[in-house]
Amino acid sequence: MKLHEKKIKGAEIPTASMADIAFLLLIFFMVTTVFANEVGLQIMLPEKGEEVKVKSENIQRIYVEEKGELRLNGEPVSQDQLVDEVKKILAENKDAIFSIKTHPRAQYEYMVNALDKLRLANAERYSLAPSSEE
Amino acid sequence: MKLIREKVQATIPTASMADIAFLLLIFFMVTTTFRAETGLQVIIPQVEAAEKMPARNLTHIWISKNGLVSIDDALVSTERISDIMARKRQINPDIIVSVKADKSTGYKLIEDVLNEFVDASVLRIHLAARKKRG
Repeated sequence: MKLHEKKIKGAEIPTASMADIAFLLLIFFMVTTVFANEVGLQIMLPEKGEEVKVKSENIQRIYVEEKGELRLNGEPVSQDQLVDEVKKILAENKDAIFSIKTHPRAQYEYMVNALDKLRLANAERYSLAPSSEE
Repeated sequence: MKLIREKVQATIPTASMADIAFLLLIFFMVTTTFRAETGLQVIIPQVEAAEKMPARNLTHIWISKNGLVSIDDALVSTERISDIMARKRQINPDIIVSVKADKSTGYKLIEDVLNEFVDASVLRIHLAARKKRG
């Protein structure tokens, strides 16, 4: 007796569900993706022990008071005025260095605002003065 | 004379569906960065002159308004920051620290933290902020 010949089936990978699998993974990654869109202010801290001698006439002092008031070289200024004043100073003396001194109990936000205003006025050189120093 | 219109079966070609899905999938896989740390609950300040934060060599530090400091999801005391940062700097000398501090944090704490960075010679700092709209 002869067994019937085995039918040779064409071997195939089912691809019908491929799109489903891909879309499933796709949706997973879409949901978990957080685009790196963080922004902020970049600052460069001074090297430890490094002392830079600066001509004192180039130093412009900005004080950030406890309640967020700003003073530029002792004169009270508003936030908007600060941008204009800084621009004016830079126009006269492009070597001006702005030193931001913040009251120890002032909120961080006030210091960031002052820094932001310097950035808006395109000031390149600024430093954060230690607040304890009187 | 009667015209006989042949009815063409309307079909959407689905053969390329998987390709499209995979293409999108690969895009999202590449752009995904999983949130490694949860950090602390902070409200970061708003600034106008915000710059884009670099995506590489970044390490995050959270400072909450009640004075907690978190690095790598561990609460640390201020004095230990310089040790941790010095170790991180040994691993990656190009390290950039992103400071996510609450806007109402007292400036004293911020200054202490920044001084710790100087001690550890980690000098590139990024103060995380949100872009002010309008």
